[in-house]
Amino acid sequence: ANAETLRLGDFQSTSHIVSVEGTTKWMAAVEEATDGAITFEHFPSQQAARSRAQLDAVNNGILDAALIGAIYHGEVLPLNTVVGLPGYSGSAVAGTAALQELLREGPLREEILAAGVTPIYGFLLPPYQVLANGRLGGPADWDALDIRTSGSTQALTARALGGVGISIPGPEVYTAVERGRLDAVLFPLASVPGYKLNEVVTDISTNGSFGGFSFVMVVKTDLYESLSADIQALMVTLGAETAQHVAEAQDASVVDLIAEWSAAGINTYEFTDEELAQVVDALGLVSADWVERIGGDHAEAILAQYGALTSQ
Amino acid sequence: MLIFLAILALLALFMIFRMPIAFAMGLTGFIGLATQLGWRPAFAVLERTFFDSSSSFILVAIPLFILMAEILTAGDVTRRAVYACQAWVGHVKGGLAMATVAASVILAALVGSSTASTAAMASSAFPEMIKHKYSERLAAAVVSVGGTLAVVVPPSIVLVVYGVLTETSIGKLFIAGIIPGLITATGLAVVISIIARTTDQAPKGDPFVLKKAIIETRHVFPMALLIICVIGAIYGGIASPSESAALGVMGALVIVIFQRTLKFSAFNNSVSRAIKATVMIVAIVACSAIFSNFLAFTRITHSLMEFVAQTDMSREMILGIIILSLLVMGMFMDQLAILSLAMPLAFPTAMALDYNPIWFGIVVTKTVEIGLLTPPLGLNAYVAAAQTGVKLGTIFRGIMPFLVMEIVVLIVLIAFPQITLWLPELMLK
Amino acid sequence: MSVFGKILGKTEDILHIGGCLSLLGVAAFINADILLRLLFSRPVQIQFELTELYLMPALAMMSLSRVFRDGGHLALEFVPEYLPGFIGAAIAKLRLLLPAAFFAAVTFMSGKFCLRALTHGDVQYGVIDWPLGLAYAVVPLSCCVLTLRLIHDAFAPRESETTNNQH
Ligand code: NA
Ligand code: NA
Repeated sequence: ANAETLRLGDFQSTSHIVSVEGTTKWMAAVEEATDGAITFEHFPSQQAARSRAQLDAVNNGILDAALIGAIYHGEVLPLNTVVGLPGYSGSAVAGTAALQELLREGPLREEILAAGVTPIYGFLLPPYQVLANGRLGGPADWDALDIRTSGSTQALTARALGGVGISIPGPEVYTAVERGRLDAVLFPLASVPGYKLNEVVTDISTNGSFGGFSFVMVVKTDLYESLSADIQALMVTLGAETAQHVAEAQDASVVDLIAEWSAAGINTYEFTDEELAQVVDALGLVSADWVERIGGDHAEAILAQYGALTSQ
Repeated sequence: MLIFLAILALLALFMIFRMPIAFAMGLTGFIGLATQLGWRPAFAVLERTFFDSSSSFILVAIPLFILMAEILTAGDVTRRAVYACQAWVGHVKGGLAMATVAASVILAALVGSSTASTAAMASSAFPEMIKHKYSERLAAAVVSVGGTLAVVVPPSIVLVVYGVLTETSIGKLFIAGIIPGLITATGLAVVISIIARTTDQAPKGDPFVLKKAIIETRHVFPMALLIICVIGAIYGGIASPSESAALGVMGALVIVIFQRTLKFSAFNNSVSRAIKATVMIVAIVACSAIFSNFLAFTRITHSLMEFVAQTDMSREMILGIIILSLLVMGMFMDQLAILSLAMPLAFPTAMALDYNPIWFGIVVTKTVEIGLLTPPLGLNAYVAAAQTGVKLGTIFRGIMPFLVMEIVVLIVLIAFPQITLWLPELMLK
Repeated sequence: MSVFGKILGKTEDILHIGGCLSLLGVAAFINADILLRLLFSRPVQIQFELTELYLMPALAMMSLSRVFRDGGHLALEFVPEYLPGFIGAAIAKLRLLLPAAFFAAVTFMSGKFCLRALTHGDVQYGVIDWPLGLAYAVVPLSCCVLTLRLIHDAFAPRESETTNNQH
């Protein structure tokens, strides 16, 4: 086959762990394994398209491939937003294994294919935790707190716990927490150093599950199908390895981060079993709402399947 | 490379023949994209660029702070406050311009966006300077340059974006920005006093009368109260920085209603002017996004930085090249676009050369801030021109002496990292 | 002034009023949000999405053409506005017609994008479901009017000059 250079879009910066241990590694592995038949031009930090426009950009031929955040494309990929629901995956590794399984075949894969792109691999961030000034345990502690959430599922999560979901742009979260405009933040721990939120909070939970965030590497379907079967298989196999690796790396890095924050005097705490049961109970509402909202035959089935896979 | 130069030449040609800058950038960026990707993808870029560029909550600070300043000006509040300052410092040559710099520093502590700050000063302090016989050229330059303080003095959108892109401590960056911000403000005052002494652009006001000065001071209170309320709302955790702009608008309205100094028609006019400035800014942001997109697809920064990293130049020389390329990019691009384009490569390079990330952040911010003042695309000069009606060319000429000062400050910050790092190291042990 | 010019001018004025009202809306909603959560710890839940999705694009785009009419989109002024001879006349036309072509393209592409969202019924989920097509619509609308303004001025330059002088 001819040498092919793929323009790959990415909304993450190259210094983020998702890029260092995931995207960059996968691109290098594919380039090496295909002996240069496939090479990449990487456009990180939304250089090629805004995060919400990455999928359109691949579809329109602006890009050939992209690492998309499924949650950003709820109007095209509603079923794929299942990973945003709280109370399921307990770690990046568990969530990633479940997502990879769902992307292999079934409605999640079909939905992405219908958008004109082919999923190569997908992985999850470690589940969102709560950061605050003060320990938040069972729902009683959350009453009437202003909680920074992103997206409707998280807003509902905050509400289900008795708090108020507040939308604040990412770059302003630091200031808002520092000045007390926000009482708490739901955030993926891996992204905490990027926004330096550890500088402005005193308490960080470590075993909560306040929703997930999934990345899916997609390639424009026309282009993907023009590649030889060998290359397609290589991309997928290396993708599976990358997904597994980046999930492990993130879980490990979260352990390191927690140790680092603990040493710096931050109270990194686990919910007690009782608190966790109360929280999960309150959050059942969020999943029910999601099923109702997405509708269709698939929503309920996908949720059941996702629940079964993540609890394995 | 050849295509890149051809597109640049086309841009220059369009601009020379007086095509509005926003349109020229959008058009050439679009043509450039077509050369890189083909026509279909280039057209596809047009689908949502304008929506994506305008649909941003952080942007609300721009129209709202402009509206606040417009209401205060229309309601005579600013004029009275500046008169009060005038009573104290007016007898010094250039005193009113220095008072404007002081006001810009205070505003900078409220606002994280340079354009919002410039627009606010242009509609409040500029008319006062003109009334006191300052030259248009100096008065417009002072508000343009004063506006850049907003991105060095915390809070600052540029520092936040740098912090997020490079995973550098935003808290430390904010604290590190304070002294460079004050040095810049001092430099501004020095240049103003030199201009005041050597030219007749900044006349002396009335002689100093203590009693008059004390009496006039009462007019500062409404402004001071408003500033305290807005800063208080941010620091007291009542509002986020962009939300506080809306509080500022309400506060301004309360003041002018209380003073009964604002006619309904003047209020309409304020809203209309705020809209016009915002539309102009967003058009440039959207069109320059198309141009940056083209630049990203040429991979020109990528090749340049990669080339720099591979040669065995001294670390100072590499730093110099990075700064120089940022300055050149600053001539054509929006600050945030420059950061997202250059940092993925420039930052690791600087770290490999063992430079301090906090210090590098301040140097980079200072450099892209200079880009707001350089032609052809100097957003602050544009905003000042739109708000004051002074010709762009006149403003750019007025800015030149200040630009020299900015470069000197930049060199000092590069030569003595301790100036930047002393405060954060002291406060965050 | 031609009928077309009059209708165009009225349309621009109406859109401009829409932009102004959007700005006042933003100020009112954010203040209401701050006050309500301060006094009753009940925020206006829809404020953020309403501002980001609808009001910001509306206030930033709707006056696009009116601002051009008033000379608000800045240009460099090193060379005189009207150069003599045929070349000068050609430059004066191209300066308007090239951007007109560009904005016609923006109108077409963003219009198609908007139409697709409308027919798909795309929504952004929130406290209420926000129809995205309506949010997108402001871009093609504003760019379309600007395109017409640019074409109008290219073929009736004197008229645009008198309009400019009124301000
Ligand atoms: Na600031
Ligand atoms: Na510039």
